Amino acid sequence: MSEAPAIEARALATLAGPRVLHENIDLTVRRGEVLALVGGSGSGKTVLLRTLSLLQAPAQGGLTVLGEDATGIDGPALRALRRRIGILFQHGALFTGLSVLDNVCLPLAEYTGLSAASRRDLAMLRLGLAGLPPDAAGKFPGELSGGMIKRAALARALALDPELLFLDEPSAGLDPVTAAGLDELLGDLRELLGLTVVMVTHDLDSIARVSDRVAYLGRGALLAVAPVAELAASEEPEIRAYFAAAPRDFGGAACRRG
Amino acid sequence: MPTQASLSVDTTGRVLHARGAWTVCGLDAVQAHWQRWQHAGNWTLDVSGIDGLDTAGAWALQRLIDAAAARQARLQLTGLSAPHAQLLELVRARAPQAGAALPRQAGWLEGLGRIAAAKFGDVLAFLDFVGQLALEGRRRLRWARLVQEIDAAGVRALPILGLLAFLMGVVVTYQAGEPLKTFGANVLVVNLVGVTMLREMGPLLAAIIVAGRTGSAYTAEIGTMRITEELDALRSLGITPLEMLVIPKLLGLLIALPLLTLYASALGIFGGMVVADGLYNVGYADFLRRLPDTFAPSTFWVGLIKAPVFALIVAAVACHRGFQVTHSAESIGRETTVSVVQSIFLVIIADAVFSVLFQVLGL
Repeated sequence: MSEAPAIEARALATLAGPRVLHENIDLTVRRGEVLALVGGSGSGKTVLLRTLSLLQAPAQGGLTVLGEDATGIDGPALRALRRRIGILFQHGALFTGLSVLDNVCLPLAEYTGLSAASRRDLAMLRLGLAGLPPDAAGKFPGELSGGMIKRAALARALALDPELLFLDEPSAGLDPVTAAGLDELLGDLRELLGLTVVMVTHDLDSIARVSDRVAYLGRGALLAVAPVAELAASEEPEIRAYFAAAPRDFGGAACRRG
Repeated sequence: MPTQASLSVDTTGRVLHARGAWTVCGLDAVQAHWQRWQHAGNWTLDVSGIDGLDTAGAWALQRLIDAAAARQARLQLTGLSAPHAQLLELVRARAPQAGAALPRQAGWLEGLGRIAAAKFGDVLAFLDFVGQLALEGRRRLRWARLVQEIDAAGVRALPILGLLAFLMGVVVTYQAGEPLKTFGANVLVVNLVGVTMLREMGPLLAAIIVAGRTGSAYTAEIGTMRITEELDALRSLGITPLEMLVIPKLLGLLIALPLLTLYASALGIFGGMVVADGLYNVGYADFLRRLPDTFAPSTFWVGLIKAPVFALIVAAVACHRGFQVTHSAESIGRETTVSVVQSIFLVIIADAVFSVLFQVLGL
C-alpha cells in the first residue's frame, strides 16, 4: 500500500442544487482509519459523502482519493478508481430485479475473470462476512427485512475487497446485536486488510466502538475533527449539545486510541 | 492494477509456489487449479511469495486446500505471515457451510403450471378489483383530484391527439379520394371521411392514445406508490387507495374520453376537409353543407357511446396493473407494458363487439 492518505480534500465546496452546502472543507483521511462523519440533520453529511465517494463532483477545491487526483477525473481512470471504493447506501440500493446473490455477483462478473461457479462461491463468502444466512442468497430484496437489506448491501460493497469503504448510516435499522457484529467486522477488516472507512452515522455506540476520529459537520463547514472523547468535551456549543443529547462514557475509545 | 496472482508447480519437491497479488481482480489466472485439481498425495503450498492478500485471495487459498482434499490429496500451507493467517481464519469462520442450500431451479413443467396459474389468478384478481370498485361508489368524491385527472388525461392530451387525428383524416381522405376521382365521384369523400371518423377512427384513436399516454402513467404511479409504501400510508390514514386514486382517475377518464373522442373526430374531419379542398375540388362550404346529409343521426351517437366503455376499460386495467406491482423496479416496467397492451387489446375487442351489436340492431 502506498503512503498517500486515503482521502485528501482541500478547500472543498459542495452544492445542493443551486445552494452552496459546504465551503472550505479541509479533511485528510488516513489509511486504515475509521472516520465517522456526524452532524445534525440537514448538515449535508450525505452530500459530503457522495462527493468524497466520487458520485458527485465537487463544486470547488481539490480532492485526492487513494493517491489519485479526483478533480475532473473521468473515463477509465475514474472506473479504475471506483473499483477500489465500496459504498453502502443509506437504503441499501440493492438492485430489486436481482436476487441477493446476483447483486453481489454483479461487480465480480464486471471486474474479474472468475468462472460463474467461483463468483457464486465468493459471493456466498461475502454474504457470510456480512452476517447473512445462506438461505437469504436466493431471495429478492423485496422479501428481506430492513436489517437484512443493509447486510446484503454491505456484502455487495465488499464484493471487490475495496481499499476505501463509505457507509451511509450503516447501523440505522439494525438491532443492537447485529450493529455490534457489523462494527466488529469493520474492525477486523480494517486490521487485516488496512481498510479505510468513512461513515455517516448517528449511532454514538458505534462511533465509540470503531471510530478513530470523528468529523463534526455544522453550519456549512467542518467544525472539528478529533477523536470522539476529545470532541465530546468540545467547547463548541453545537457539538456539546449533540453529544450531551445522549450522554455516554467515551473513555473506552480514548483508551483504544492510545 | 496490481500484478497477477500466479501458482507454479514444482513436481520434484511436491511444492506449489503462490506468488504475486492474490487479490480479487487477479485470481482468474489461478482459478483453473482449484477447478481441476490433478495432483495426488501430499503437497506443500508455499505462500511466502504472496505480496498482497485480500479476503478473496484468502478464499482462493482455502479453495485450493478444499479442492485437494476432495481428491484425497493433502495440501500443507507454509510461509503464511501472521496477518495473512488471521485473514484466512476470518474467511474460514465466515464462509458458508459446504452444500448450503442454493435456490432450487423450477423445471419446465412446473414453470408452465405456474404461468397458467398466474394467468388464471390475474383474471380473478381483476374481477375482484372491479367488484371492490363497484362497492367503493358510496365513498365521498374528491373533486380537486377529479379536476386534476381531467386536466392530465384530457386537456394535456389535446395537442398530440389533435395532430394525429388531423393526419389520419388527411390519410383516409387521400386514400379514398384517388379511386373516387377516377369515377368522377369526388364529392363522396365527404361521406367517407365523415362516417369513418365519427364511427370508428375518432373513438379508437382517442382510446388508444389515452391507453398509451394516461394508462401507462396510472400504472407507474400506483405501482411506485405501492413500492414506496405510500398506499399503506394512505390506508393507515383511513383513506382507501381506491377512493383517493382510482375513483378520481376512473371518473376523470369517463368525462375526458368522450370529449377527446368528439375532438378527435372533429379534427379528423377537418383534415379530410383540407385535402378535399386542395386535391378533389370539394370546397369547405360545400363539404360542410353536405356533411350532415351523409349519415344518419345515429352514426354520431354510435361513435360517442363507445367512449365511456373504452374509458372504463383503460382506467380499470391500468389501475389494476398498478396494484399488481411487486417489490422490484422491473415489475413496474413489466406491469406498465402489460397495462398498455391489455387495455389496447380489450378496447379493440370491445370495438369489435360494438360493431356486431350495432349490426344486429341495424344502427
